This record gives sequence, C-alpha cells and structure tokens, in this order.
Amino acid sequence: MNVTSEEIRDILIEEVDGLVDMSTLENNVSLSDQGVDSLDMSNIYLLIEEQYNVKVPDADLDQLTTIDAIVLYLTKK
Amino acid sequence: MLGIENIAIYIPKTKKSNYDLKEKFEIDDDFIENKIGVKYRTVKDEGFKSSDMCVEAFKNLQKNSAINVDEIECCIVVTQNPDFNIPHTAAIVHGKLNLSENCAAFDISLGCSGYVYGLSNIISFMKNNGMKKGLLFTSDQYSDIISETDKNTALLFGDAATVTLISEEAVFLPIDFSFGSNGKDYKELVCEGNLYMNGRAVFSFTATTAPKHIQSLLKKNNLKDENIQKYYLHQGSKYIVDTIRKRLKVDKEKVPFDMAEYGNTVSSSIPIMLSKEIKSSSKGKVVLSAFGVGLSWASAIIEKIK
Repeated sequence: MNVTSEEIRDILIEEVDGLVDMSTLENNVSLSDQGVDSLDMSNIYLLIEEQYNVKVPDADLDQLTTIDAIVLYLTKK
Repeated sequence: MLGIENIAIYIPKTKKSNYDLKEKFEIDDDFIENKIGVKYRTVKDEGFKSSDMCVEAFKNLQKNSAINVDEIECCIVVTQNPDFNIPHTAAIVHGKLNLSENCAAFDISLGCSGYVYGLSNIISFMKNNGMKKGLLFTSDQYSDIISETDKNTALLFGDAATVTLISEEAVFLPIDFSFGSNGKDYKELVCEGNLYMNGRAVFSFTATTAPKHIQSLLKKNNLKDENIQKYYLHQGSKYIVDTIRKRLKVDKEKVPFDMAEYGNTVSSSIPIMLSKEIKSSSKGKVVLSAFGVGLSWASAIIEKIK
C-alpha cells in the first residue's frame, strides 16, 4: 500500500488540529508525547482503518506511535 | 395510545470529583471537561441496592404525578446490577412499592441500550395485554463493580435510577424502534468481578454503528434532520457524543450533553435527559439512540405531543 506522511497528517488535522500545534508536530516523535491523548488516538486509529480499509489489532498499536511508524505499518499492508 | 406520561429520576447526593484523580491518572482539566466530560460521579448511599434506587425514583415520581399504586399493572426494571441473582429486582421493587398482585413484574438485563429496549418492551407488553398503567425503571450502581485503579472506567460511571410512567395520558408517543446486537464482541465490555472495558473497541463500535443506525431509522420513516428537534444519545462520554454528532453532521444545539455532574449512568442517561425535556413547552419528534454492553444498540423516534 502506498501511504504518505502527508495523508496521515491530514487525518490528524481532521481530529486534533487546535488541540496540538500541527506546524510543529514531528513525524518521528511519539504522538502521545506531542499532546495527542488516548481518546484522540482511538479516533485516529479508526479513521486510518476506514480510510485504508485495514484492521489494526490492539496488539499492533505499539507499532503505530509516530507518524513515520504509521506510514511504515500501512506501507507493509 | 400508550406512551410516556412522566419521568422521574434519582441522582444520589454523594459525588466524587474527577479533579481529585488528576495526579493519580495523569490527566488535566481539559481531559476531564472536554474529553470524558465527567467532572463528578454520583455514588449511592452505603448499603443501597438497585431496588432502593428505584424506590427513590418512584418517590420523586409521586411528587409530580398522582399515582394509585393499585392501578399499576406492569413493573419492569432494567438493570445489570440486580439486588440478587435470584429473584429478579422487579419483584423486590414490586414488594417495596406495595403494587397489586395483578401487576406483572420482570427484569430486563441490558446496559446502556436498556432504556430504548425497555421502552419498546413495556409499551408492546402493555398493549398486547390490555394494560393501562405501567412503570419502567432503570437502575445501575456501577460504583459496586468499578476498580478505582482502572483509568478506563474509574473516571466515567455514576450511579442513578429513573422511572418512566407509561399510560394513555402520553406526552411522548413512540413512532418507531430499531435494535441491533454483536455478541461476538461481548468481551470488550464485561464484568467478571470488576468491570473491564476495551475503550478503543467500544469507541470504534459506537462511532461506526450509532450514526448509521440513526440514519437508517430516519430513512425508514422518511424523516430528515430538519424533522428532528433533538437527538438524545446515550451519554457514554463527551468524546463519543461529540463524535456521533460530527458523523451525523447535525447542529450541536440539537444534541444535548448532560453527564458532567453525575457521569455515565448507563441505561438511565437517556431518561434523565428526557425528564427535563418532558417539562418543556417544545413539541416534535426526537431521536433516542443508545449503545454499549453486549455489544448492543437501539434507536427510537418518539414524538412529544404536549
């Protein structure tokens, strides 16, 4: 699957823009360390599942902590 | 025609503050107020059981409605925290309220979807058996089954009970109901000693199921958003209410949020909101939609005619 970090950032803008500063959001730093809380993360995972038509099991969540990691995970799908 | 004549509620006076748990769970005011949306959780009196909360709700109903208990022909209690495994809590409530021996009494074991299921059940049951007056109770005391160390549940649930008087003097009339279940995922929200909730799984289920279910029910009845005055959604959390509202693409003003002062009161959350609406002068169709334990969901369209 071909996925870009811009696409993931678009999903984040939809959900957490205003709650976190998107202009300073780093691709390689944990989203939770940048102010994205557990409820927002649940919503982001759901939006990813819907947009890319994939199922992300709970067991895989520790592989999806940064934007880069999410891109890598989806690229392998 | 049978419908809702009145609703009364019982909210325990004792409250526990989520602000006191900020350090313990590493949360801030924004998370409390704008995400989970629960500032305080109500906690029943020590030793109180489900039937006791039902009785308190009934006492409050008597303050607003002249009720002759001999005329009550049906008493249903929606609870998943019964006083005992045996007998059913409705029997205990029946006894405590001195209801007639000709009155049917039984429980419905459902969680958050319980009020909508219960409403359909009691109206159908009464109609099919020629009954004129009935009581539908909701009552759960999750404070008995919550682990205070579990962040997923300890911040969320409050104790409460409600009673809905069903009669032919209806203020709200039922128009249509729709129900759903996904028993394969029951383990995502289960009580084995203490309550366990997979927050992500329950969120995904609700965010994807509830909006479609509501839209499907409206379409079936040839109704659009402009025909609906309010959407009374189960108050699972502020985040889930906001998410459903966004996915439904309806105005914020049409989707009441009312759990900040007592928490997620399970099957009582919708009747608590309706108990306030029933006193208003507004008329028109409203949507009820609830979702949770089971996994189970139910939606209804009812119309306020007075």
